[in-house]
Amino acid sequence: MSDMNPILQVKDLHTSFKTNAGYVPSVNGVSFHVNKRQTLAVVGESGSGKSVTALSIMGLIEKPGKIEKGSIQLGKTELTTTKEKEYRKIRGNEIAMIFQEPLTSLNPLFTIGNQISESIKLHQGLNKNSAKEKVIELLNHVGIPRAEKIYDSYPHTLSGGMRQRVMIAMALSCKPKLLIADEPTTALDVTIQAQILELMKKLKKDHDTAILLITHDLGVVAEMADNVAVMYAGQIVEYADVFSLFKDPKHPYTKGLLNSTPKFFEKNEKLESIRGTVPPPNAMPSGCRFNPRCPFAMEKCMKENPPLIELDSGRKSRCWLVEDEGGNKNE
Amino acid sequence: MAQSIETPSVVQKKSSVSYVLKSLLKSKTGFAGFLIVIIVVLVAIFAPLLAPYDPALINPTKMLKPPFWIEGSDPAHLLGTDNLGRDILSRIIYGSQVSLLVGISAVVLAGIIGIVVGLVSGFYGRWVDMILMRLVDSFLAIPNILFALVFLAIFGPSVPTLIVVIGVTNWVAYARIVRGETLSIKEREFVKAARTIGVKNSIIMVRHILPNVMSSFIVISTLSVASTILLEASLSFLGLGIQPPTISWGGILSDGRDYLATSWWLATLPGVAITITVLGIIFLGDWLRDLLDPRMEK
Repeated sequence: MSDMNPILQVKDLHTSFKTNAGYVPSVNGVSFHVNKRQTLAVVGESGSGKSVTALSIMGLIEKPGKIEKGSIQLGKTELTTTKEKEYRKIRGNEIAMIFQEPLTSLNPLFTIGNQISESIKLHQGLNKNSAKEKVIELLNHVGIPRAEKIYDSYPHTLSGGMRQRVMIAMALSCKPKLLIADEPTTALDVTIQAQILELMKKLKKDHDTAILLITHDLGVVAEMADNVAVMYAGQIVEYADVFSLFKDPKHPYTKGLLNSTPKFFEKNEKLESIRGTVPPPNAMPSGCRFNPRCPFAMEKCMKENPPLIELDSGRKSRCWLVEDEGGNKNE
Repeated sequence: MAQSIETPSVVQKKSSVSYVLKSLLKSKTGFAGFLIVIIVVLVAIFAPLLAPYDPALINPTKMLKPPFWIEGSDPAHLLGTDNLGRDILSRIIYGSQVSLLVGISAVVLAGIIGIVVGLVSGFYGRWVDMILMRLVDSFLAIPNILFALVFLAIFGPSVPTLIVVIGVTNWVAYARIVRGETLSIKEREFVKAARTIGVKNSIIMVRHILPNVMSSFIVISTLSVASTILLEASLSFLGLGIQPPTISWGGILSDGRDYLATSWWLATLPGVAITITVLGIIFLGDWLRDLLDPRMEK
């Protein structure tokens, strides 16, 4: 948890969307940082604000959405005030992103080579031939066999795993400092998932990339992450290193998430679920946002939303229960 | 790893001439369309050499002769003569020039305006979309023919004004379709992916969205070459289209309307010429759409 050289530092990020009923916050005061060669996993249910956080970092929040408050720093650059023209030089060059659906992330009408070289030509100004060499090198690097042939193939002739490799090659083409992976393995079958995760790990080592991994799959988190931020209803509810999070989850929501994951040795037991659903952003409950679903909810939880309380170990949890354990108020 | 990929089909460069020719020969309808269009174009170009008579030559001794397969025909006029004794075959041959020129240029003009407006409107959305689509609505509120009549009355009927007028009245249909397609394609992930590598909006529009819109556009535009030729015909019928002695298929067709009950071939034969040409263009368009889409490869 050292703050030595964070590549990405997000502080108190508020992103909201304008609707007929006014501005509805989707991300509500999120702070975290990612260091060099580290992977931070952002975990949460659908609608918890994970993807909006990622798009805020990419500067791709489109109207009616808006970053209302907070700072996003990439190295020493403040991104929230960066002009669109400058931002385009950062996108693909310093931050890259891969998506959930490798099937739809590639333009069906262009060859693989054509699409990967777009980024290279754009940011490195290489000519056609040297770009092609670079692309084939990249394809080899992400483990695509017969790269020469794949270069001239169209996306529909490749399998899902291959396409995700292509997306990774595209993302890494300019050696970005930060890779944002938005559910990179959700659409893949399990054996391919493992391969893709292995590949991402290897690339992280080779290129010193920091990874922001967005997922709802705790298996992927255990496999990949150094630190984990658990998000619920637009806020981080727990922040910890991956080992302590799995060993001793502090927030009831994290506990619920872990309980609703099947475990290998506990057969016959009915899989637990967290009752209820994430509240819509325009109808947040008063007090703690998790209280209507929380099995430990107390009277205090109905009245006051707990701050992110820092524990001695450097872990953080947004729960009044933690305060009783001697946590210090952080915010 | 090797088992995780399907064998990619044999890769060929899309741009090579031999590839295009091969694909044309493989598609039966495409080839037929290609032949028809080539023949019609050649006929239009070499009309003076092919036509047996001067199309404006009046012959009062041979009026309303039927085509060769009907009794009473004149062997000198294969497709018969009209009410002034003019040779219909020659008129159809000469008429192809103006009909093709007007039909195709007007569609190209309308298509260009429609694509630009539709792309910009669909891509930028919000107030840009509002303004452009209200403009489209107001165009739709005025009947095409009325709009064309007013314009032609102001600027005077001639082939260039006719092209511009038909183009300007017909772009709204393309704009709507292109906008709709753009709306759906811009939400696809590859557009987002292009953004994440820092591609400019203008390039995203032209490089990533436009090619994906083209297949619908090609289908619609080839179909509307027919309606354009017919619109020109109705304008000619109303007296503001192609002015004699210039000949167009639409013009011959509307001339023949008065004699439909007695000498049906006057109106029918140019109609057949329009049908065959349009069919050829549609076949060609279908093939072109498949050629441009790598997923259609077999």
